[in-house]
Amino acid sequence: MKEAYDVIVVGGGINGLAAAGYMAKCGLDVAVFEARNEVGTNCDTEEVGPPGVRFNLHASGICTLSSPAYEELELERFGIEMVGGDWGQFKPFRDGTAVVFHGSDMKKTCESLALINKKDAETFRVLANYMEDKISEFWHEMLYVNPNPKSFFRLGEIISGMPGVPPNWADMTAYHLADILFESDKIKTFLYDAMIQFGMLPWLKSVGSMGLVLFMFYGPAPNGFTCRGGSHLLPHSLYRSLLHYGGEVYQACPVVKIIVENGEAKGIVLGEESVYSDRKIMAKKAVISNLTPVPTFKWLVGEENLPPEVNMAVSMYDYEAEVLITNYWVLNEPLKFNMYEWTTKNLDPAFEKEAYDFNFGMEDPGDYTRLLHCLARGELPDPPIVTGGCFCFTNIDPTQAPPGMHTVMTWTEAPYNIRRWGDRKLNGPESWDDIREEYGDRIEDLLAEYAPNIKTASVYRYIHTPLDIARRNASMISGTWSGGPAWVHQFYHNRPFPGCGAPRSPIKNLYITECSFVRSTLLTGGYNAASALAEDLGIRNQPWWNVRAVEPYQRWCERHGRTWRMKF
Amino acid sequence: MEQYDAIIIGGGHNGLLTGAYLAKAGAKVLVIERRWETGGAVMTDEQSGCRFNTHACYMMMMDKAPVYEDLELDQYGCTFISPQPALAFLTKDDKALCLYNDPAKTAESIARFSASDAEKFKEIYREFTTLVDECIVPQTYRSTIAPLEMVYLLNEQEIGKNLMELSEKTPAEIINDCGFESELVKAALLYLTTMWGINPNVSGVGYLVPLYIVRMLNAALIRGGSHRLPSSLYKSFIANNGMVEDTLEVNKIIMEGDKAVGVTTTNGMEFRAKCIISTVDPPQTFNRFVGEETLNKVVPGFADTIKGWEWEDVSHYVLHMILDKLPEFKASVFDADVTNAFIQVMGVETMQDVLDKFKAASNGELPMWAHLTNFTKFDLSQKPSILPRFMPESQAPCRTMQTYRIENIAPFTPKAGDWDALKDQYGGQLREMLEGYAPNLSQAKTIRSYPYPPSYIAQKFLNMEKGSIKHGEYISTQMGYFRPNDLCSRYKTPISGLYIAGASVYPGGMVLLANGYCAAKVVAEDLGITQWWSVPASIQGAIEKGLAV
Repeated sequence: MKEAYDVIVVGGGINGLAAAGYMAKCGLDVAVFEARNEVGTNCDTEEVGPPGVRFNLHASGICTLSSPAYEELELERFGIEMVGGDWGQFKPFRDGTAVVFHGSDMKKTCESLALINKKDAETFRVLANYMEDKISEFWHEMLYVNPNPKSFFRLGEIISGMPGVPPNWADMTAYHLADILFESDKIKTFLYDAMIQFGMLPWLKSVGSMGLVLFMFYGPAPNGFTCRGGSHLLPHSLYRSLLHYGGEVYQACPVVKIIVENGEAKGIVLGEESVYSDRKIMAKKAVISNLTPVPTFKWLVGEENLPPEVNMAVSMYDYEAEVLITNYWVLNEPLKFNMYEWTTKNLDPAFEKEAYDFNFGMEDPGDYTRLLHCLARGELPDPPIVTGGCFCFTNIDPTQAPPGMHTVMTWTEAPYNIRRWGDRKLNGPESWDDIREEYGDRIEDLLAEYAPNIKTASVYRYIHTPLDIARRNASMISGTWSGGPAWVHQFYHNRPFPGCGAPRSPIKNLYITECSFVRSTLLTGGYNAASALAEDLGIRNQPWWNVRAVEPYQRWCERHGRTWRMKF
Repeated sequence: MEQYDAIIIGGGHNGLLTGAYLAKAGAKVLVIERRWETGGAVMTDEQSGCRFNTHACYMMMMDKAPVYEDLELDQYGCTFISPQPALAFLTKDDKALCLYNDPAKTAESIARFSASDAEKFKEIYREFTTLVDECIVPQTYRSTIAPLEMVYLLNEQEIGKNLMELSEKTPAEIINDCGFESELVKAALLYLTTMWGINPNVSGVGYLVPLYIVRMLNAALIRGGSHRLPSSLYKSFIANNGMVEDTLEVNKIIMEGDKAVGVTTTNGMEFRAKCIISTVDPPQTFNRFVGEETLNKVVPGFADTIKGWEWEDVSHYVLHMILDKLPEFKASVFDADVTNAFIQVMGVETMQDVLDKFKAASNGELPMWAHLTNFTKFDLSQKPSILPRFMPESQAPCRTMQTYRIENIAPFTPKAGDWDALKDQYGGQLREMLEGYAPNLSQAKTIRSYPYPPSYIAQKFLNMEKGSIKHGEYISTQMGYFRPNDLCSRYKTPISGLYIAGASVYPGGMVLLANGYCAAKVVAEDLGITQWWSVPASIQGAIEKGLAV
């Protein structure tokens, strides 16, 4: 422990670790301070049930293979092993059919979609062919270049060029654009779920339509993966990479203040409850905050150090609308979907062996209106709304449970501040402790409509509520999973608030990683914060820092004998 | 293939400890760990934002183990406190006996039960402290010697003779012979040894009595959670270019002739080194990794010696809880300091209680006694501490959350059935007992309740067969020079190139931070590595006085 470091990172989440990792690899003296006992809070694996059963309570579908950081921070060298089946995300329907995406081969996806709707499958084929040589650029400009007009217009150009997409797409919600492109409600609701799961809300104009086209191709930019051993192996490999390059990490060290002098971030102060009570540590070059806007600006920088416009913007920052409840089951046999009969007969008998990533329940596009209504009224959705992504971990990674045991997780949307459940009055967040099991039963009931053996095979269940999320990670205010939804005023260059200039901030030498609106395991925020700081310090030009989005996945497919195909 | 100086099997605190000393000396060291997190049983988990120190939690030797200063663990995030009073023994008639690391304070508490015991305690505690500080602790951090040599050494001096005399007695005899009149005082002192699963009627390990009495009154809580300790060792190891491969399980030790030269893993990888240091239990190290045939070739009958390894008679049961209240003990009317105690003990009022309940547990029964520990009261960072500072309680209710463990020794194989069926029921009974002493807890909201029965211990840790928390019974034939046996207790084994360094080797379990420390010295000498560390003054003093070697 030193008195001063070149760079101090507040928060050891995956993006804090990634930012620190880049800086350490550039040769800077870096230290990360984390409040919890363990790094990677929202990308964790805990043994909260029977020994040997690994519970990934939060981050689940790990998308890091799309990120340049996967190769640049050498995560495989530091122990990460990505595992996923050939097939990608799926959505079962009550009539026994399903929308099934392939993991890396759009030809197979289109063949699968043709079983649902031939015209829609053809639309997909045409769009995929158009995107084939643009997918890496599209994802890179969108995610790994800090928001700027040039990238924005290039993205617009690519979307406008998509066959069938009208030029005024930016003035459309996802519903509107989906109605223009597709016929099948099954395919549409599949895409709405996938967007919500990624943090782009379908009911918004431009965010919605952009999300729709983005997530049509998230097979080729992967989602259906876990780390062998559990989600925590991602932060664990980032941690190892960071330590290897000389970075330091201090856990159980909550930061309670970012020292600001003359509008410039100078260091941090640790809380009295920290391992090093009340210690002051200075930052010679920069402080990077891995926390969301309210903790970063309101709590740690302090209103007295910020211009009134910033205080106003931060006060209005919205955390709700992307809040999830985790149901985790341990089963004594694999989950059996009714739809397996259909996939075996029509698609691939091997599908059920590797079924991993799914959503279910929202079969009517109108259901999404119910979600908005519940969020606005603080009402618990009943039946539950399952759009957060659900995972059968042990189907693709048997090491996550002892032999004979299987794990399944669902992610269900709800408001944080719950005030009613039907006619029942609830008391806000504290009610989560009281209704946890009862609401978990409702989620189980819904899943049983699609996979009845959830009722008979379950030997252990653990429910992790939005209140648990907030308690565990002070930065996840209101139990948000995403750091705040991508409303238009919290999207792209407006994130986290208009005028912030993220990953730079109104405070000189203070950078933030919470500038991304998509799934954190893409490591967008950490990459972008590191990128901005490196540019400002004139050290961005590193020979190893040149990987582009999606490429690590394409190379992974090549190494693992998988077909990566968009054109056919 | 990369060639290492040393490969360490097992990334528990002993593995990391050995690794860190050797790596800092410039050796190229690889630690292989089966789980994804190193630290072994010194672990900290989390539920609902509160930390559960799932397994190990009271650290008795933090202020004595040379490693803390040698490796500057305070600089790598490991700091600790010793809450006082260390223990409060609660009685059914709402009285309490508090034990402190300050004997004068303990004596004051004892005086409320017996004035003469109070005086006696001061005298005995002084004696015990001298034994512990001058003899037992220095010996803990030095290699063991053969019993005859030990007799020769200790017989030279008064204090040594005392220790030998003590060692021959059973814990119950030692406490009896102290001559206290208060049953509660006797029960309390005997419990300090018995709470770790040591049979109060076993002879030959009596030196543990003064050690546990003195050190438990100084027991440390690691700030931030137990896991900060191995985490600091890990960081020190990595900072000195040590390498850890986790999520990797050793399958075999590679032998070339009679020499151990490397390991293979269950997924088919191979690593080579000048020496292998195993920190797991003897049956795994020898019979699983080396193989009986090789063992018997090197030392005829060795495989059977290893098969004779005795696991512990009793295991440990813990119920972890997050409640929304602090306990209001009835006994705090009698002694307000009860509330401040690190540990509250219940169901232990007479020596006979301790003897009977231990016996019951070793017979497969589930006795009603336990001790309670609340971590969050002493260490706010083990629960959500940032939210309450900045947010109203209505938006994030966590101000009142407290984590507890209520625990005791328990049979691995209960008569009443298997633990899967019993773990919740037994936890409920212990909770009920607790509510008898702190009735307000019956109104507490249970935010989480996580039983951790003996069967879980065995499933979590392969080297804790039968839920054995010390990696093997503490009996005279498995302690000192005989731990794990007379051929291996000095860290070298009859297999050339193979060393052992876990809790199943001298001086034993309980996070002494000694086994790995002593093993590093032996390995360094054999590899011709210059030792950068020196013997701490207190230990050097004991060596000069002829109380250690």
